[in-house]
Amino acid sequence: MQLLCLGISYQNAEVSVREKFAISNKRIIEHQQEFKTITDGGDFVILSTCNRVEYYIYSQVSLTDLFNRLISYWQEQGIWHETNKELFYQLEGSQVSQHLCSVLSGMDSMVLGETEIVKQVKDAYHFCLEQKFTGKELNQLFQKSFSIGKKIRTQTQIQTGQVSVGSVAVDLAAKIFGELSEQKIMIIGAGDNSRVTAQSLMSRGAKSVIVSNRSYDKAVDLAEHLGGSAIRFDDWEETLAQVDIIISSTGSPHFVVEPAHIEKVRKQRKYKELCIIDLAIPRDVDPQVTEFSEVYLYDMDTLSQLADKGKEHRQKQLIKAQAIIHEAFDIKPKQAPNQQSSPDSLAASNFNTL
Amino acid sequence: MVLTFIIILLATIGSVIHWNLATNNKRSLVSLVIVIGVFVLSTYQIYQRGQIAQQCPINTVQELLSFISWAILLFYLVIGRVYRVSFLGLLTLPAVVLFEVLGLLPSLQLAFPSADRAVNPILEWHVFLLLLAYGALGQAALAGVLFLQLHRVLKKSNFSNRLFSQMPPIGRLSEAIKRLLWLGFGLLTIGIILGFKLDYAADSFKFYLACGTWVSYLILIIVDKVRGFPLKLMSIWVLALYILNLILLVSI
Repeated sequence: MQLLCLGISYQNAEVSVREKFAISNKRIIEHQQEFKTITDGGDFVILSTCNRVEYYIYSQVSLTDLFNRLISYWQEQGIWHETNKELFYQLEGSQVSQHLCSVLSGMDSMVLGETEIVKQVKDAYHFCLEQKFTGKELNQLFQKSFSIGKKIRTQTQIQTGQVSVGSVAVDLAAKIFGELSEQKIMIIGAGDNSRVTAQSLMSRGAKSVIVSNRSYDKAVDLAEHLGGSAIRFDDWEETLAQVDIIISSTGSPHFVVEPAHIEKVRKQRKYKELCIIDLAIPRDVDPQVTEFSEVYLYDMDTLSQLADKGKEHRQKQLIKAQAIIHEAFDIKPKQAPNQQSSPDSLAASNFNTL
Repeated sequence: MVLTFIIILLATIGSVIHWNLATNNKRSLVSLVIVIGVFVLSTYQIYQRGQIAQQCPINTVQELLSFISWAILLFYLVIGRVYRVSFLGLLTLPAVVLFEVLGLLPSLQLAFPSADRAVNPILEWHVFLLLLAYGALGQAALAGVLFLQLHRVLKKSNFSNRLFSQMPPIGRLSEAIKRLLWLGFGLLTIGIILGFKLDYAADSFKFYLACGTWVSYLILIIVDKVRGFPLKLMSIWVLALYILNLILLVSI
């Protein structure tokens, strides 16, 4: 009997391939007999997220046999193609434990250090536990991995710092206002950049969004999508007095927001703080607006630099994280001659493919 | 005197620990425990002095400074926790060290002429409330310092500042400054009203100073309420007024 893991992830497979192998809880229940047969009555936990599908198994079946049995199963489901074989990683023994710890700590995530994966793994594990698909060894594996994953997150800074422009913008807004639930956002220019940033703000509690765009229809579309309201492009200046956060991303070749616009509404706003996120290139907002002490302006350059720093910072945490995993499983890290452990090499060799 | 040195030592250790934790992006209950410890010792110091003088210990500038630092600690423990600006502790303990060390200057340990007065509850309440007001206004000034630092970081986009991630949001600091301002102003008002019931022949300058302080904070509050005040300007005013008042209080 041994621990085995078979999986496919964003690292090797495009979403069009991954989505074929995605499996819902309902489907797992419907096919539980097949999985019990495939594993010879062994224990299993199936993790299926948008970025990976993994089978964690404790069984007497060998890794090769297990893969072949799963291939047969997928062939019956009509989802298997011969080219898929090279996309799967196959792990056994302590590699499974290490891999699961990497997954839980966010080391193996598309966004390094992201936290959503913890809930996803816990949900998958608890579902299989409730359905009695797991056993003592898999329970121990997952419990220990949850603990190590948590240790990595608390003892390293793998999840600190933001890595996308949207999340950096949200962090800055939160540093100015604290709670975003009472802040009003105005979007000038209903493009993708604005939409993504506004969605990030709303995911952190912002509720009130006003969208302004040269094309009123596009403004209405985006406003509906975000649960806000739309105004005509000519009316954005009048709305300036009421908002706390401005996200600007028009295609205008000249400045849209100028110091005169801010000066006009300062007293009306009672000099309340105003956060302006300028995502446009060329810039929409005249940098002179920062002369007003209550105005905080961040352009694409600043946000991108911060996001890059965030990524760099998280990358540096990989070495510490790997050391925690090695310590937990009493593993001496293998090093080829003249090879130094670097974050990049660790990230690339995060799992071993047989 | 021994107690004063213990307070200075503990507050210094607490300051170092708190700074260390803050610059390493860590939190610990140890710093809060030390603040509470310094507060308890300060309370005992005031009590002890009161027992010796058999009246409220407000007879030297050193005693006034100790009282003010006690009040600053009190308002940190109340406001800091309530408004989740516990980061203010980073500045509170150094302020306590500063006040207690200043109080060791020999010239500040000379008794006021009024020290030989008969015990007067109205006088003692008057001074106590004014000192409490100085504590609240002092904590507002510290919040102002914190805001100015955060404002500078946000304006210059210099996010490599090691304290940045732990600093409370501007919105919370703004709320804390304004509430402390109102609280301090309210206490000042009651204290001054009580002062009008007293004969201030010997110490009239201190009373006029308190009245001047009251007027200056009143202007600040009215302007903010009626027309609004950029927070940067308000923080500078709050800090400047407080430093000016302290200098005048200490130098008379």
